[in-house]
Amino acid sequence: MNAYTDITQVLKGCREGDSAAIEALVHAYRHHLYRFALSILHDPVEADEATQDSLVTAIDKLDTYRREASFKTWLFAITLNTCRGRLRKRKVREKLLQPLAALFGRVSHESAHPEEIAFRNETQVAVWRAINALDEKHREILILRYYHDLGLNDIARIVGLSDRTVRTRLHTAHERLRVLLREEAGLR
Amino acid sequence: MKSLEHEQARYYLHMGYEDLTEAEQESLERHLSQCGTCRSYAGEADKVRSTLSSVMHAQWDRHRPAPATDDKIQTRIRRKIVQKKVMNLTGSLASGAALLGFIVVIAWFFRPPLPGPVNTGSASVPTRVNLTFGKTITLLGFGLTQDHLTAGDTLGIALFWQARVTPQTSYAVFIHLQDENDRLLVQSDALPLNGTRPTTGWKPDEVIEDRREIQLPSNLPPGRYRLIVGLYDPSTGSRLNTSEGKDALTLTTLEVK
Repeated sequence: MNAYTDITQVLKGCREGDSAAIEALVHAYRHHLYRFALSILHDPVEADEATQDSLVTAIDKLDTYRREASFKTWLFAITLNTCRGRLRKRKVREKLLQPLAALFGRVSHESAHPEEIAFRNETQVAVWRAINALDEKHREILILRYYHDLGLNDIARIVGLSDRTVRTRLHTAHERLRVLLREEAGLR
Repeated sequence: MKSLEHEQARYYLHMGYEDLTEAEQESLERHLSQCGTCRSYAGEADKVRSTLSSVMHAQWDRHRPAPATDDKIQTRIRRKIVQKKVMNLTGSLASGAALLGFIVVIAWFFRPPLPGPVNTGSASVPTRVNLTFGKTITLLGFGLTQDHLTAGDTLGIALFWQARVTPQTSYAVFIHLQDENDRLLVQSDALPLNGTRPTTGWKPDEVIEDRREIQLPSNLPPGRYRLIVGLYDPSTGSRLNTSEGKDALTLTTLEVK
């Protein structure tokens, strides 16, 4: 029995509400989705919630899965949308809270990503600083490419862009990183 | 093959070999074999790629979803599936009800015309005819008091009439008994219900039951006789033609023994 047949059976079982199929689906994808959500949101609690939301949405929209891409790619696209929604809400929240923070004399540390704080290795800190200096649309593509090892076609489907645009963004992100890392190295 | 520009070569280098077409790979290899600057750039690009991969894996690989997440997700998924099933069932029921309603409306719209009110408390029409005389008067049917006749018998005949609109002319009804040579033997000619319900007083769609009796001659020889019926204008004597173009209708053929 090949993987395609397996996932077909799992999805069929999920549609029918079969507990074993649901469990199999959750076990097969929860880690991938959680890490993907974490890599976008940088917050374990939010990543956990986004993983739940994404899998529930996927089951809800299972009838719309057309098999044009792999199921994993389809799940990643849903997760990315979920994460983007959360990021938008976060930005609104931060905007609303900014005047309050100013009022109470607090300084915002939002630019400091957890990765920068967590690492002690100078090179890694420099790399993270460079990654975080990129805007969201370039960072997403780097993460999908180098953390999730996805091909350009799959990335294009997940982010909803053409292959050509993804190539261009990957090139731009690379070039900026190369320059940033060279500057970092020069400074040290 | 045209050689690559440095910019194009660098663009390819950032993609990584696995996402280049064979032609792109070939042209890149050819360019790198001739260009030391781009070879050095390729080394840098490789380093960027491997660094990115390693820092990301080092950062996120150790993370796991919270242990309770599995149960939460499965519970939410099961709930969602139940919700969907309920919604589907509700939708199906609603669709079924809507369809049934639609069918009822359509059936009501195209329902066959109901028979009008029957006067004199008459029962249903024994033998249906449904033949129209002129443009408005229809003979719905008739009934006979007996089927087996002998000479001298009295035959009761009930005619059931209906007018679509009230006729403008007062017509008389005739019933004739004829032999096989169309010779008139017995007749009953009169306004409906002995003149008490002239056709000019018939309400639209009202059913008029006109009862007559004919006395068979006592010397009537056994044989087959035709009972015919029709309408005529007593002031002119002209008959109303049926929708089939005849001036009378043969109700039945009677067997006299």
